[in-house]
Amino acid sequence: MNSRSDEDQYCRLFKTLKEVGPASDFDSKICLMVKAKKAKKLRTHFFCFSAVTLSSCAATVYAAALFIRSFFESGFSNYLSLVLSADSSLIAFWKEIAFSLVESVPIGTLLLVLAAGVLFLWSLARVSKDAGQISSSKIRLAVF
Amino acid sequence: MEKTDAQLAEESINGDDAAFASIVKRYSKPIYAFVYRLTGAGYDVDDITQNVFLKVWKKLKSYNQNQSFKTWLFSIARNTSIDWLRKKKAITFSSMENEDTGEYIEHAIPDTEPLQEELFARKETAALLEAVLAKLSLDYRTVLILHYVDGLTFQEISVVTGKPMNTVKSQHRRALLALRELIEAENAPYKGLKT
Repeated sequence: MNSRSDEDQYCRLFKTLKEVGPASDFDSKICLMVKAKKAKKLRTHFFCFSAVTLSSCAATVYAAALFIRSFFESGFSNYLSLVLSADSSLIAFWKEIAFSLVESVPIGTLLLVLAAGVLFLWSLARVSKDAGQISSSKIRLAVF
Repeated sequence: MEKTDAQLAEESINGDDAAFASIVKRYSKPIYAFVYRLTGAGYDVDDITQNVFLKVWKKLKSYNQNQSFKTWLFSIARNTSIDWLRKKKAITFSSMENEDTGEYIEHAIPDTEPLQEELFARKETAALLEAVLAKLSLDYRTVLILHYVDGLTFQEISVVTGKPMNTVKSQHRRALLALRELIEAENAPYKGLKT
């Protein structure tokens, strides 16, 4: 017996199996379940990023205060006013003044401010995106 | 024009709920039937099938669009069914191990004779076939259902099961022999069925 007719007879045999299918509302149940999971995921994201936003906001304020204090303590403002004064000694000692100016920059606190600020802006963007999605999904649910 | 599976998958990834609903509508019935026959789970089939689609939704981002969506979906359904059977301890790890060495042994297995014509005419054939399928090993059942009920090619079954195509072919051959033997045993009046 060739394999083609072999295949055909088993195809016929399996066609005798009764059709098995889910209930008529099964598809909508799955879609609702997925929507519920999606909404839960969205809410979890929203609360997590809200917490990150608040924390990073506080961190940015604290880091900014630290930066301002260290800015005045480091003497950077003195060197800067010297540069802006256009004193004649500036030309003679420009290298030393430039090095001192660079050295006096409070790099650590500046980086802290930048990092906290970037984190704040990023999490704020995520929170507003999530909030938009939550409100639009609520509108969709209200419509249907 | 009807959208392809890949298009619907892409739209679902982009957050289109209607596209995902179309995927569910297109595949809920075949996946439900596949899970039903693979697990024999009765009332749990609903839960397992829902779980399959939930996994599909979660894993959509990792779906490779060069791959057939249907085979990807069936492989998730198969794995979810196996997980359920393991939880129920209906199968053991050893029964999942491949008995075949992967060598193509089709030639070593004798050809089968045609099934008796009266078998197709009988009302209880469907019930008999369901009962016999339930007695087959999971691998054999998977190959037969995917090939004869869902119309997958051996190449596609190989992707779904993650086994080499030659192994799938030899499993198919062995499954047919086992099926025939079980039909004979279950259905004594059909003495004409020979292997």
